[in-house]
Amino acid sequence: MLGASTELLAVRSLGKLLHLEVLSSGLHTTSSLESRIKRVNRHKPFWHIRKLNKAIDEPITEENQIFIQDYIDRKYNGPLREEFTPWAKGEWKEGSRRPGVLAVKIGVHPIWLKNGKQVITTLLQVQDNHVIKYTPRTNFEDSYVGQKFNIASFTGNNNKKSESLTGFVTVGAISTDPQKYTKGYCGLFTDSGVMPKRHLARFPVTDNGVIQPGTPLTAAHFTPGQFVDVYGRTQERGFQGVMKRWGFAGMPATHGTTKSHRRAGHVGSGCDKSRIWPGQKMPGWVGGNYTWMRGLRIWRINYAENVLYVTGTAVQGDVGSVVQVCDTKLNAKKWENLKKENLTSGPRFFPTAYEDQLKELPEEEYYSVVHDFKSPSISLSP
Amino acid sequence: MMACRLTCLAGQGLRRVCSGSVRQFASTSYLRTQQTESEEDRSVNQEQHDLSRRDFRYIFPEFLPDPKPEWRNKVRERLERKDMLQRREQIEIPEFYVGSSLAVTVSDENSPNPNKISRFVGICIDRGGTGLRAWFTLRNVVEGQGVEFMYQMYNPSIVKIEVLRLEQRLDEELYYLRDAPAEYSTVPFDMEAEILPEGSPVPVNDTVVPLNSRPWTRKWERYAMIYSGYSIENPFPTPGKVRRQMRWMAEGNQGWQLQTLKYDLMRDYRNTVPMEEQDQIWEEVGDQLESRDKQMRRVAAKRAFVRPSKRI
Repeated sequence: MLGASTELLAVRSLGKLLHLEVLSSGLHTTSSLESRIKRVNRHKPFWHIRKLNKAIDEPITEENQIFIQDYIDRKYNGPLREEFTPWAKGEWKEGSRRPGVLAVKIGVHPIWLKNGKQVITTLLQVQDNHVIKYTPRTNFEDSYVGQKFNIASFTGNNNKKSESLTGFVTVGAISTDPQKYTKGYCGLFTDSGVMPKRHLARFPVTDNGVIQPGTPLTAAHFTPGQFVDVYGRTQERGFQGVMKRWGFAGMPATHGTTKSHRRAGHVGSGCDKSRIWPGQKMPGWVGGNYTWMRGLRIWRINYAENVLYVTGTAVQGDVGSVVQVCDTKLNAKKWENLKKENLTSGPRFFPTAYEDQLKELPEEEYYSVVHDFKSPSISLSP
Repeated sequence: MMACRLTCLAGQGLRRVCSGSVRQFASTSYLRTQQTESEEDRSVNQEQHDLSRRDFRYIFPEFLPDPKPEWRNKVRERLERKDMLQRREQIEIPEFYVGSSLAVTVSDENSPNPNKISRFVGICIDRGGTGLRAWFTLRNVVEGQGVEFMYQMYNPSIVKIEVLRLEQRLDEELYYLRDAPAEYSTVPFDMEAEILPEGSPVPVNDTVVPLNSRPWTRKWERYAMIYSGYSIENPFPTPGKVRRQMRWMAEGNQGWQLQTLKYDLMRDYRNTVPMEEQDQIWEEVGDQLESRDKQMRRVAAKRAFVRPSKRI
């Protein structure tokens, strides 16, 4: 037993290394937020399995092609397989968490509010989303990955408040040809009976937020007026200097400055620590890291095309990039605090909108302060 | 800047028929609605119909998307066009060109008017943008002060857009009016709308504006070959100016590069939306635009009947 615990301790320290707490604590700061070493998150997690299949060298005869297509059609004959009994649907209460969706950034539009103000919005289209899997917390914690992480809360922060989270829900977007992917990757979709998806994401949920695998998710998952967090990979900007990368001020353009208009200037310290400290801000690669944009409002939802209109132009990535969208965790913008928007009793459809509810929805819906183009010009007369 | 000159601007039945170039399909398209045709005829007439709808890119240029391929997405463009058509159902966004005189009425919370609206009249010096971000700039000289307003065409605060005088100029942008005498930018606020007779082409106003003496907002002597709408009395008054111009035009420099632009076919290709996609767009929105125009013309005709357009 002792041997096992020491092994676990070794793993824990390794796990902590991933968050660079040991490394930074050995120097001069404690938490990763205050650390001099600013890390950016660019790589995919080590536990992602091999996804893409190698291309087949030899050509397949037409008969075999038809046979393969037939097999695929029979295997993936539709989501929500009949042998599953429907799971119970939870009720919303304060502190609930439900899965988000995977959306594609399709562009940027202005919309106008009823008081005449303009809001630039990003359009996020929820394309072909299905719930793939539900992993209970104990399953995760007993697995190799869970052991390696071994953090008090498996959402990634040492946040004891998230003990109410009982599992992960995996959501997939954009079905594609199974022949492109490895057997292991395709095996992920056997629970739900959906075709293999191009993109996957997992969301931590509470008990009542669990959705049955195979359920389709649409833009109706969200309510106009609510706030969301968007997680995605930022645009690549290449090798950049300190002014763009870290916001340094540079030096004057004139007044005798010699060849140092955009340089960093001073980098080291004198006397005792006469060297450059680790984490010194210098030029380097900018972009391509995974970040959260928090507290973006949904102004408008188009249920016909499954499009969300979200504040701002700063959603990560270029047009065509895939992002994760979920309910916000910011305190001021959580459901309980949305008194002005009349959303204190949670999302309209919890945990998500199902078929019978989708039928009753109009083509489009606006948050109450947004000007509908079908209505006449804005008049400010008293 | 180097865009083609807008001499011909009509769609059949929709706008004034061009007088200059050969546009026989306009009349055949009218006939198309009168008779039934065989399949061959129909395809030919359909093609001619498409050809005439291609003029819509001059009348409704904001319906064509930005050609930059990184930003294009069919779903978004479709949603944008839907919004634009819905807005056009609410107010009339008329056909106008750079050089036309417009009057725009907007809802303004700081207006002294009890209805909180303000009206500005001016000459359109530039227009641009695609989709819902389409804009145009009006210039006028008010009490000796030059004033320019940039309006967003689809902003719902705009209550009315009237074209007081529909005409074109020799250039696509009229920023040189800022360095011209004030009389060339002045449009009287009480100007009456001049309604052109049905089916007439859009007149080209070929005034050549004499610029003021230097200093200017831009180096207009450099662009004398590109803009034909202004004249400079003595473009290079000193030997220094001549030398500067020679240096600017030397091989590899900006002036030389400007001259090579007209040979750059790939640049034109990159800056245009392919014809096939344009045709698809006009097919999608053309009917609604045409029916809306008919409605507006009926309203305008009633107005013209009640009140004569010209006052002697």
